[in-house]
Amino acid sequence: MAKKIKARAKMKKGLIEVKYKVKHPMETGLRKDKGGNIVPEDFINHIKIEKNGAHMLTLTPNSTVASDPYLYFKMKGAKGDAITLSWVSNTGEKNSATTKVK
Amino acid sequence: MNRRSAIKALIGGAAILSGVLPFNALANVMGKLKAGDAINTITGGKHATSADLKLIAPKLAENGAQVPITVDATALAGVKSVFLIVHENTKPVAMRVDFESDDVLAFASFRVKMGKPTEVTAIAQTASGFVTASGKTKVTKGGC
Repeated sequence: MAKKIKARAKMKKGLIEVKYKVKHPMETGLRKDKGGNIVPEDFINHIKIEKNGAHMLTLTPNSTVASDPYLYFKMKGAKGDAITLSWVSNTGEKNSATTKVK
Repeated sequence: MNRRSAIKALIGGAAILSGVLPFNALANVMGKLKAGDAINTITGGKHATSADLKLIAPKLAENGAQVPITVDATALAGVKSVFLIVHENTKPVAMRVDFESDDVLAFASFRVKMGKPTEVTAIAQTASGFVTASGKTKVTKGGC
């Protein structure tokens, strides 16, 4: 199931402010469900951020990053640039989203 | 999901997205180890504290499952990557951010989980070595 990526990229003081909220449970593998079974580890372990196809950032989160990871970055650029985020989880699940800078 | 397949997925995912990662030891650093060992593995034991690296972490976090952290290394020159270490977590290395372009400011904000009150350390890898900054966060309700 594809998980939602909420994105906002805005020009502020000559810089692009990029804010993301990636829907993901980020299970640590320590928590138990109601039946007492351990919920297996399931977390995003690689995020790549691009601007107009050029590689900007690589993120390597661990399972200790909070659920529904919220990310905030600043980069140089202009209105209309396309910012792309793509992630891969330890289970091999992946998703990506592109937003235009406003 | 066992440890072996988790590591395979990690390496596979990393390879697909960015080709070769600068640190081969990354998978080990991300596992369960002591915070001091993690810092030494990343920095090679050589690091200095600096006021130019700003770690913004709350003194008191109400919810340990969502602790906002901001690492601001914009005052440092030539920052390649930033690590965040939460000392009391079983997996102390919470996040690694690599700045791949000059267009990106050495600034990152995100949220982490904390099990109990802990010391937090940010490590910035610059052209001239490793710089660290630490802070302490109290957690009233753990979330790890």
